[in-house]
Parts: sequence; C-alpha cells; structure tokens
Amino acid sequence: MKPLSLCLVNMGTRGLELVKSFPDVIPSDSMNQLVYKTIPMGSNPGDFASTTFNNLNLTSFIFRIPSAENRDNLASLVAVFNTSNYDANSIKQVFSWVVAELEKKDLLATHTLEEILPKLYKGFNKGQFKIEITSTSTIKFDFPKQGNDKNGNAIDALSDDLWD
Amino acid sequence: MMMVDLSLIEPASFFIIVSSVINMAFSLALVITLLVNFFRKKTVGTFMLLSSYFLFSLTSAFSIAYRISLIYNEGVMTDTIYQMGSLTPMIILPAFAFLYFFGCRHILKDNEIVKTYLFAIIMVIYGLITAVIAYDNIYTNSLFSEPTYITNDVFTISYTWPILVAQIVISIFVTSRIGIRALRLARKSDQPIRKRGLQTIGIGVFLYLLAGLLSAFDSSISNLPALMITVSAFRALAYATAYVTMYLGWVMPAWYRKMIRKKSWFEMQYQQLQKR
Amino acid sequence: MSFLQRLFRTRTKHADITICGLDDAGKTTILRFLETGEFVDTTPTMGVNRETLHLPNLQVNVFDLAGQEDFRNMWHNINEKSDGIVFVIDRSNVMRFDEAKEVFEQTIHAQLDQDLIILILLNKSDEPNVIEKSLFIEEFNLLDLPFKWAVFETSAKTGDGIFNSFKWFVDEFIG
Ligand SMILES: Nc1nc2c(ncn2[C@@H]2O[C@H](COP(=O)(O)OP(=O)(O)OP(=O)(O)O)[C@@H](O)[C@H]2O)c(=O)[nH]1
Ligand SMILES: [Mg+2]
Repeated sequence: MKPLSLCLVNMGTRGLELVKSFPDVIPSDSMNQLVYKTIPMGSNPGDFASTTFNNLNLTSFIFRIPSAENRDNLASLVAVFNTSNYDANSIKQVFSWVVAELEKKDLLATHTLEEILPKLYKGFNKGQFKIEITSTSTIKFDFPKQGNDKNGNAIDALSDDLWD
Repeated sequence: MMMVDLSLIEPASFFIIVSSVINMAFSLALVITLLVNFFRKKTVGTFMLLSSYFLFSLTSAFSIAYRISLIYNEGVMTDTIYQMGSLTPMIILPAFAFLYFFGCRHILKDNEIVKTYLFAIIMVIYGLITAVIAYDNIYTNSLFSEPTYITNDVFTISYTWPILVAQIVISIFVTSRIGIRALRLARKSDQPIRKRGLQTIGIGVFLYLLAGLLSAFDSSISNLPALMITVSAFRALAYATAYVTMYLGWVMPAWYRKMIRKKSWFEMQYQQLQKR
Repeated sequence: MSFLQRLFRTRTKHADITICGLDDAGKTTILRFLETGEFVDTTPTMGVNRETLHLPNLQVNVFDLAGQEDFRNMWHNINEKSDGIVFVIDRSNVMRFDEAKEVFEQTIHAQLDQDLIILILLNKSDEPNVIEKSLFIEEFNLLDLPFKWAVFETSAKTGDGIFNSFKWFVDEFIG
C-alpha cells in the first residue's frame, strides 16, 4: 500500500487545479489531466472516485472546504498508484476520516491539508497515522483490518435483483 | 353445471370461500406482476420470489377447489376431494423454502452452515409430512376429514395440528426474520426510495404473516361459525393489504417511486397556486 | 396500471433547460432554492448538476452548468438540446459585467432554435449597490434579442423573485 504520490486538488478561478502533491513525482502533463480525473463531472462533496489513465491508478475523496467570507470550495484528496493492485476501500476510509476529523476540530482548510500531506504519505507506508496538526491537536488513525459495509452491499444487491 | 341448493352451504364455509377467492385474486395479481418483473429483470431473485408466491396462490386455489367440490358433492367426501384438501400443506412448505432462499440472497445474513441445517430441517419436516399424508391418503383418510375433532374448551383442534404447527413455526421463522431484517436495513439506508422500498417489504411481509396466522387460526375453530366468519373477514382483509403492500415493496412500480420521491419546493408552490 | 401510465405519459410534456452564467453568479444556489425552498451553502459546480422538476403536466430537466472558464466551452453541447436557457447574473458584481455580457452574447448567439425561451435573472438583489434593471436591459441590448425573453430580479438568499421567475418560464412551456 505505497502510493506513488498524494495530491490535493481544488477549484481555482478558471477550473480545477493542483494545490500540492507529495512527493512531487508526477510529470506535469499527466498532472494536468489528473486533476480533472479526481473530481469527475457531476461530483458532489462526499463522493469518491477511482480511475485509471496513463498507467496511473487513482482513488480520490471529494469534499467541501468551508470558508467564512466566500463560497465553500470543492476539493479532493487523491492517492495515486502505479499498480492497480491496491485497496481502494481503505484509501477511502482514511481520506474521509481525515477530513471528518479536521472538520470536527475546525481545522479543515487548504493550508492545513497542505501541511499534513507529507505526514499522511508516511502514514500510508507505515499503516498508521499520528499527525500533529497544531501543538494542541493530534489525530490518530490505525488502518482497519477488514471493514466492508455489509448493509450497504445487501441493499445494493437487493435493489439490483428487484428494482433498478 | 349442476345446481346446488345454497341453503345447504353453511355460512362459515361460504365466508371461507369468499375470503379465499379474494386472497387468490390478489395473490394471482402479485404473481403476474412478479412474472412481468421477471421477464424484465431475469434475475434468480425475482424467479425465487415468483416461485414462492406462485405456490402460495396455488394453495388458495386448492382450498377453494376443495371447499367448492365439497359443496357440490353435498358434503360427501370422496377420495379426490380428500386428496385435494391434503395437498395444501405439501405446497406451503416449498413456498416458504423459496422465500427463505430468496431472503438468503441479500436480506438475511445466514452463513452456509445455518442454511444447510435449515434446509435439512425443512426437508425432514417436509418428508415426514409427506409420509403422514401419503399414509393417511392410502389407509385411513381421517386426517383432513371433518368433523373429527379433539374438543378443547374453546377451540377445537383437528388431528392436523402437528402439520399446522410445523407450518406456523416455519412461516413465522422465515417471514419474521425477513421482515425484521428489511426494516433494519431500511433504517440504515439513507436513500429515500430504497428506504421506503425496504420498509414496504417489511410491513408487507408482516401483514402476510398475520394473514397466515389468521388462516391457521380459522381452520382450528371451524365449529364456531360466528367467530370463524369474523376471522375470515379479517383474514381476507389482511391478505389483500399484504399482497398490495408486498407488490409495492417487491416490485416498486414506477408510480410508487414517483410518490416516494420528495417533492421540490417549487413543485409544491406551483401546485398550490393551481389549486387556488 | 400500464394504461394509467400511458395516459399519464401522453399528457406530460418534457422540457430541457440549462442554467448558465459566470461562476459565483448563484446558479446552483437558485437550483437548490427551487428544490428546498431555502438558502443552501454551495460549492463550485463540477461540470454540471442535473435535477428534475415534476410539474402537473410538465417534466422539466434542469442542467445547472459550471461557470468557471474551463467549463464554458462545453456549454453549447448541452445548450444545443435545450428548450430554454436561464442566464444568471450577479448584479452586485460590477467588476464582472463586461465578462458576463461577453459570455451572455456568446451563449445566445450560438443558439439556433427559434422557439428558445430565455429567462434572465438579476441575482443577489439582497446586496447593496446593484445594477438597475432598466440599465441592465439597455447595457445587454436585450431589446434586440430575437427570442422570447424576460428579466426578473431575484435573490437566492431571501428567495425573492425565484418562484415568480420560474413560474413565468414554466408557463411559457406549458403554453
Ligand atoms: N447575497 C447573495 N449571495 C448569493 C445569492 N445567490 C448565491 N449567492 C452566493 O454566491 C456564491 C455562489 O453561488 P453558487 O450558486 O455556488 O454559484 P454558481 O453560479 O453555481 O457558480 P459555479 O457553480 O461555479 O458556476 C455562494 O457563496 C452563494 O452563497 C444571493 O441571491 N444573494
Ligand atoms: Mg454552480
């Protein structure tokens, strides 16, 4: 579960743009395409996306960055892999959890995310996180062993079988 | 067609026939809509559900045929009529088995071991019932012939009670579990259409269980006509609403979805304006 | 059952409408107001949002487009098929009037359908220092428009004008 790189993308003045990637290893022409793959058409905060292009595989979590004066912004946290053999579910869990934690602590902002991106990257390699955001705030996370949402699956399957 | 002196028909019997006819009409309608759904979807799930309800509607067909032939025959039991009457319990169990296996596909969380054991138990009970009914059909013809009762204080329980009990236990087991799980899944689902679909399934399944229990009850009180008439009226009502609800839940017709869909503010304002 | 459906289907008309305008004009906020009847916080639209309004004899498919520059070149793909266009303008943002006017003209001139109906919303009317409606009509040369159009003053914050403007629009489709 070693991502090639983690990225933070948000909506700029013209359209989607990269805020930061760590490590910064993705060639810029791939990156220009990549940002638009991380938040697909019609996406809303709370959505996940996974896709493959140029031999890169990515999974992203799309969320809202609150703003006091202006409109809230749309952003995505992205994990890029050069193999398709990775556990997209735990990526989703980690990203959505990190965003929820920051939001709970009122720390959800672009610059905080930029700061913790390298720490997140190291956490992915170790399988656990302990991230100090400010001197008073720390978030901790251990990768769950196996956690698939059985109820959700059951409802999907039933809906496929009978209704949709 | 031979004319029958209607005065010969006991009122209780008449009511049971009427309520069975209502039951069958509704169950057939459900079977047909499930069939249509099956041709559209072609999934194993709809097929199992279809088979299950097809068998259920067969049972009411048999019970109607049984009672009507008895009336035409002026109450005289023949071998054929007798066999017709004894077929019902043979069909109900496979019907519940189909329902159970449908439930196992997505709704219930039973693992392979539980499934295997349950299947084995159902098969054993089924085998026993078949054996008893076959034996009875060949040698005694006493199991289902009325009136052979053991009189209890209020209710009279016929010799068929072990079969009845087996049916009741299995039907409660299968339907209540599917119902409870469906309601629980409904609570966890945040998509309005699925939520309501699962709720409807849960309610429909419980109504069906209620109707089934009323049936079992009214066949055990056939010597109390007044009570029996009331019970069969309720039974008919319960079956009818159960079938309509199950239709809504299992099939989720387009108009039902449309109804569930939350109306937007603009739609509501616009409609209010039109009413005025 | 199915005969009821058929009856229903023949009587219900369909209309596709698109909501265009610069980013931050309030397009999505207006759409959410139509849905919920209240002001809702939004995020920038990613490409397009789709909603359906079910009215007694009309089903309206609403496409709420993204106003960011990168997305504007895909507008015409959706506008091409649409029966009506809602153009939203942030009337409190004087700085971007020229840009808004340019985009408005591009959008309108790309339209070929003679029966197209255009609803123009001067949004954020709750803000101070807004452009006057009459001045706006003049500035944007609306009197020369070859289509059926109307201008409404709206606020997706207070809800003012939202119902009336869309009622006019919808009634144009019902005929
Ligand atoms: N004061 C005021 N603010 C508004 C009004 N309508 C929208 N806003 C604000 O304007 C900002 C932009 O609103 P959106 O609806 O997201 O803008 P949009 O036109 O959909 O923008 P894109 O999706 O980027 O094209 C948000 O911060 C809204 O809260 C209004 O009527 N009055
Ligand atoms: Mg928008």
